[in-house]
Amino acid sequence: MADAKKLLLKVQRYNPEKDNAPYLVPYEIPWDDQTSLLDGLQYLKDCVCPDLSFRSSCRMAICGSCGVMVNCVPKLACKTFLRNYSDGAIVEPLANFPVERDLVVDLTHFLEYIEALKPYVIGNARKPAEGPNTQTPTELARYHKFSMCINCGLCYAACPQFGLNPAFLGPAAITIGHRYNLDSRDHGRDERVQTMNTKTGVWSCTFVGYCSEVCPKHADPAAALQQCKVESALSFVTSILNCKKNKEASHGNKA
Amino acid sequence: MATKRKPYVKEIDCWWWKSNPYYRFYMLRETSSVFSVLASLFLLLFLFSPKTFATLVQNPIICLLSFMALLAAVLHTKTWFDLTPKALNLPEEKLCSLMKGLWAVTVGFSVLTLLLSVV
Amino acid sequence: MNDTTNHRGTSKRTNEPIFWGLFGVGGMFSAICAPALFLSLLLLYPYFGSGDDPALFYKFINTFFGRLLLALFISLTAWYGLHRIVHCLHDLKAWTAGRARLCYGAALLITVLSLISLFKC
Repeated sequence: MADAKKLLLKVQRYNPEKDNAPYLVPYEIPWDDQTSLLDGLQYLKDCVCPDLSFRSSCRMAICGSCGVMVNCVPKLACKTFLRNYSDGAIVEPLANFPVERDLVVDLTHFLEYIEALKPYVIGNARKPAEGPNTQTPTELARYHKFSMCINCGLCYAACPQFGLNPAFLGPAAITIGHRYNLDSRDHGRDERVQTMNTKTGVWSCTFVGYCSEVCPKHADPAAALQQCKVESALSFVTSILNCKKNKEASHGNKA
Repeated sequence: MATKRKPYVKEIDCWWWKSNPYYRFYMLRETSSVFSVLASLFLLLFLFSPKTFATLVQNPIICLLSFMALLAAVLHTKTWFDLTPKALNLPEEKLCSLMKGLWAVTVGFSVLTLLLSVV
Repeated sequence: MNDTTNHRGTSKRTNEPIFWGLFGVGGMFSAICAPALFLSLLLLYPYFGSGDDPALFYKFINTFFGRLLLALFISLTAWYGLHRIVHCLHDLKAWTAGRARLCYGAALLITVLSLISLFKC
């Protein structure tokens, strides 16, 4: 490795027990055409600074653990190759989340919002003995794109509306909720839309569209959000026609 | 044992959009609507008094604003039609023909209007 | 409009669909008509429209249907544009108090004025 090509990686460090604010530290990383950013970070932890903290698991862009900002763009470290940054890069933790330590962020909001939108099939009484649910390719195509989400949180780091207002349910959670709403096997739409069709639900989105741009799985959260707005608007009209406009939409959340 | 957590939260200021080209274009898309609103105010004057309107639009500053509104309108048409398909969960072929239709209506309306404006 | 309340605190439905609906219709109307209308009425009008024998389009726009089309265009463009301005002010953290009421009020005023103009002159 001694004669390998090297590039300069500036990595954001933050130790909550010592530091008041994060700061950048430059490191030299040996690299070749096959070195991913995650390999680079692992090299740092193994050989240079064992106290460097970052999350990772699968190394193949499916677990969604290793999201970081590379030159201010949200990326999966395992899917980012150093050959594209031969002039060096700045690596920071995912934007819009509180930083716990070094490259590790607190994803509590994000995980709570996914949970709040009930990402599982609801109200399907079919028993295993009755055999599997059938679904046509057309029915699958309605939600297939949105089911690609791996919960990596890159879209939250890309979303200025989540940054401006952390109460916004955000791109991934709503996309996953929409994915189940569109599933022909599911009957839980009414439970989900009550949370989705609120000011901090779909109506916080202004279609910046950067979430879809950075999504490593091309799940297209921006499209899901706009479709949810159309549905929310249509159900608004329907509920006016039914004289239920001011009905509380707080199902299950009223303390 | 007391927690040693001390999460660092970065404050976002009103210039958050400056550093990223994608955000800058978003801001351009959103703020250009100011010119559309201004232009619609000029047109409102046309409805009330075409004569005052005719002298107004020859004012160089108003003329410049009108030109900006034209550019903003073209930007709006392009971005709006780029984004419309996202809001509709339709099969690819249907979306494709819908968008072709919308573009055809727009081009048709524009050509007809402009032809009739000079003859 | 408290932007920082948790979603559990704001589970009531909002009126946003009304404004977003107007924004959607206005945005579509604008996307189709605005470039041609702005070019024709704001830039070509002094040369082809204000003389003794104006071009056909300017004769049409002075009929009731022409004026109706224009009034619709003006009010819907105002709703679309001012909706964007409301959200833009939010993005820029500017003018927090009453920005929605002010902008949508202005759009309503423009709508009322353009409807009144149909029956004047």
